[in-house]
Amino acid sequence: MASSLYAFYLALPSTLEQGLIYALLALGVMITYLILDFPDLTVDGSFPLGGAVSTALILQGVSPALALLAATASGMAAGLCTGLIHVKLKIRALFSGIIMMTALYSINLRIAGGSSLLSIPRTSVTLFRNNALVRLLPQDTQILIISLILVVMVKIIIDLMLQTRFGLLLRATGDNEQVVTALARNKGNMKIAGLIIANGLVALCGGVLTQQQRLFEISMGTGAMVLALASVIIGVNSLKRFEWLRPTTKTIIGTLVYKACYSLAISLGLRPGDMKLVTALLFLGILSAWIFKPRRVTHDA
Amino acid sequence: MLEMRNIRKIYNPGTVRALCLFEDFNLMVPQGQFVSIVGSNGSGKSSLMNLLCGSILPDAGQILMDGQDITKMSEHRRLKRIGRIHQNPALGTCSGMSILENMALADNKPKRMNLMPGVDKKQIGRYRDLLRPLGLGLENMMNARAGTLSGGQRQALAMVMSVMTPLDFLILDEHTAALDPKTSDIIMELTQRVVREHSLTALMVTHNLRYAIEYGNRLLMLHQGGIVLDVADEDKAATRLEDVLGLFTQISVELGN
Amino acid sequence: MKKLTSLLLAICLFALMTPCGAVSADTVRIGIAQYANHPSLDNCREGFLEGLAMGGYIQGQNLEADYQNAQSDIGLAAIIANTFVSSGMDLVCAIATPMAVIAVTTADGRIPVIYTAVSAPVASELAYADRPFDGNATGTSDQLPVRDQLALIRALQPQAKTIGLLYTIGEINSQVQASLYREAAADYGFEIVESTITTAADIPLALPKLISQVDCISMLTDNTVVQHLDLVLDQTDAAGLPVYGSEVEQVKNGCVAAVGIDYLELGRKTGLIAVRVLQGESADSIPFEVLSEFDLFYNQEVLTRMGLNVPEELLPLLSEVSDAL
Repeated sequence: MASSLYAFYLALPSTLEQGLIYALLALGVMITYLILDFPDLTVDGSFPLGGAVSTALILQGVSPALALLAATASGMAAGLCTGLIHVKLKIRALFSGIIMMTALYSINLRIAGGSSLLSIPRTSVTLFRNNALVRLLPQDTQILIISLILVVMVKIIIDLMLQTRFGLLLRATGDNEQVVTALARNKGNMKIAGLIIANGLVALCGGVLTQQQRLFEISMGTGAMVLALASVIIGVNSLKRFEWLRPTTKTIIGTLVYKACYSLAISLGLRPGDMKLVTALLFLGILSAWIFKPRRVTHDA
Repeated sequence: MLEMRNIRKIYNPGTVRALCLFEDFNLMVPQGQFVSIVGSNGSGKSSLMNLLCGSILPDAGQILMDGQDITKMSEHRRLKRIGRIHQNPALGTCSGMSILENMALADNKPKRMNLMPGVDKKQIGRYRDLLRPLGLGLENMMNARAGTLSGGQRQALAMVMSVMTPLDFLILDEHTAALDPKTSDIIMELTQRVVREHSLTALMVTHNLRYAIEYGNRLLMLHQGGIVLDVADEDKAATRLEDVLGLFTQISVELGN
Repeated sequence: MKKLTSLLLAICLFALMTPCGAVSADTVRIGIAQYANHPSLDNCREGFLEGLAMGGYIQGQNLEADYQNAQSDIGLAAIIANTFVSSGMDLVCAIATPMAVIAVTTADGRIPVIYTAVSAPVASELAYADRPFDGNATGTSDQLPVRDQLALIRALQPQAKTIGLLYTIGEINSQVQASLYREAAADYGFEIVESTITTAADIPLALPKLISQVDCISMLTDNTVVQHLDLVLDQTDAAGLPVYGSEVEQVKNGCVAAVGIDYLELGRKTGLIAVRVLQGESADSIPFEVLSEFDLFYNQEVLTRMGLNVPEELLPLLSEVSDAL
């Protein structure tokens, strides 16, 4: 038992790093699921999409910032497709996401040149290695500090965005579509915009993660939605009474808690193959222990 | 001015349940008129409102607003100049957002959507002034979530939101049906005041025959997609509740209600 | 909410109070990360443990070896690698190319990785062709004796013209072996027909077309295909098509013959390398090793079923194996 906790303690820095990077993913899902009330499964496809695009570009020698920009753009395109499928073709939200997620598997494989596993050489320039910023930082804290800066930047941008006229309308779209229409705004366009932003973020996370791991593997998206959702729910539900905390803050904290629980489970000796069951149980526990979001009103009788 | 010409609407066309609701329906509502619409269930009251607002489209015919043909216009574009209050108080406001944010949303209606701050702090005073006359205490709860308000408070808020920015038409779709009698009265007073103050053309669908008589200067009774009673101005003033009730009962019995 | 907070708090406090170095200083902790579940790799692992024992590291005494299998799932492989690296193993043994690549990348030089059953270390970027590696990794390679195999096929099937190859599109080792086959085939009068898959589920779908185009199939060391040899044999047996294996276990399980690698021996060699690293040698200073001797195996029962025969002059060179395990 003691050695398990010691192992957990040893793994804390890595848990923190992973938590911060994955917070970007959770923030993306926060936008679709929490704010827009749209269950977006595209995430399982757009997450590895960002990874594939970023890795493919890094292997070509493209700068890490540009690679991440491209990854984000690719995610936005994926979100746009999901949005168009849902709004124009009037396909249910859940199915729109599933369609995109399935299509993206093949697309991601193509982007990765047919390889299910790509590794980035240690000498390559990534966000976390061999660049000017990294050389300034002390060895062991490089990943932590860079991830922290990134997450804080993204969080501030999202917080500001949610306070704008556009952000207010986005929140209204998820809260009550009728009001959006009554305000003479196109609710379909608002949904598409939300999907674009969220999937851009998710793909950015995929890009950042692959640059940190120096590894892209085709199945990295499996379970991404579940992880992100669990993080959002843990954060938002357990910190409910702290109303003054913004949803972005709660989401980031939720991700860190999730990763900590995960790391604890592994340290306690649970086999890697059992981790999905652990995630499911964690999810179940959180959802049943707290009352979840109030049901949304759909339309008049 | 609102006009509906030769409107035809068939529900479930081509199926066993096909129902021809409107066949060559015509209606003209002049500027500034306040119309009360009553009718039995299935008479087409709500469908009429939906057709006007654009949430359903007619199979044939035209809808004109101030002379402009809006038959093919999308719902959200029509609602630029039309305000609609629904029967369900929850539909008019965003429950997860505060009163302040809801009003800011309404205030932004005519403005360009961009990345400027959504809530203009300087307007809070003006928002309070708009809420005070309601007498519901909402002006002291600016940060309360709309979801915590009572049905009547939400309807009142929805009304204030509708008329915060320039509007031509107001559609009231059984907007007091879900409220208790006292609150209903308050909301009706508010409705009257709002329509007068902003010189709106208003259509009010209601189940409450008393309100239909008391408010507005035109009374329409619908039955199976047709108008069976249409009295305005002096004729309406002269109409008594018993007459309307008698006719209403007659058509209801016909339907087996 | 309160319960969760206090639980987490308790765990943190407990963790902080734990004395450092909870494990005994002279027990060596090794993580054995095996990519897939099939006999060749299992043999590798057993050989590895034997090699460690030969060097004085005995499981249960001064060795704590944690064995995890990724079941051909790359996601799981990544989790395993992460777990081993972050729980401070002294050394990781990675069995098969995908596992090796993930382990070396994840370890990032922090702990030594000794790989085995990696067919093409240089192509997989686990070794450099012209200079020592710099990623704190080394190991053994199961490069296939392609020419010897081609010669064997020619001897057993003098009339054959085409050889089929089935492999996973993403596996680097398979791609390298396929190209070796392509280069050498003409010298033995063969043409190569290739069929690629993405996952095991594709195997039954890809086979019919391949079977119709070739005179025999030769196995590579592709992890997915080797793991699901039975799926391959189901259809090839029905069609009467001979399949040549890439190591002895496969011949036992139904392949006609093979120029094979003794994975037990490969594993032992790997274990001995691990011993050297544990005793202080830097992994980068040890170049990866290959087996230089190969055995030829055949399965008489399968040969007879296929209507083939081992030529008289070859018999002394070959060892017979049978289905009986």
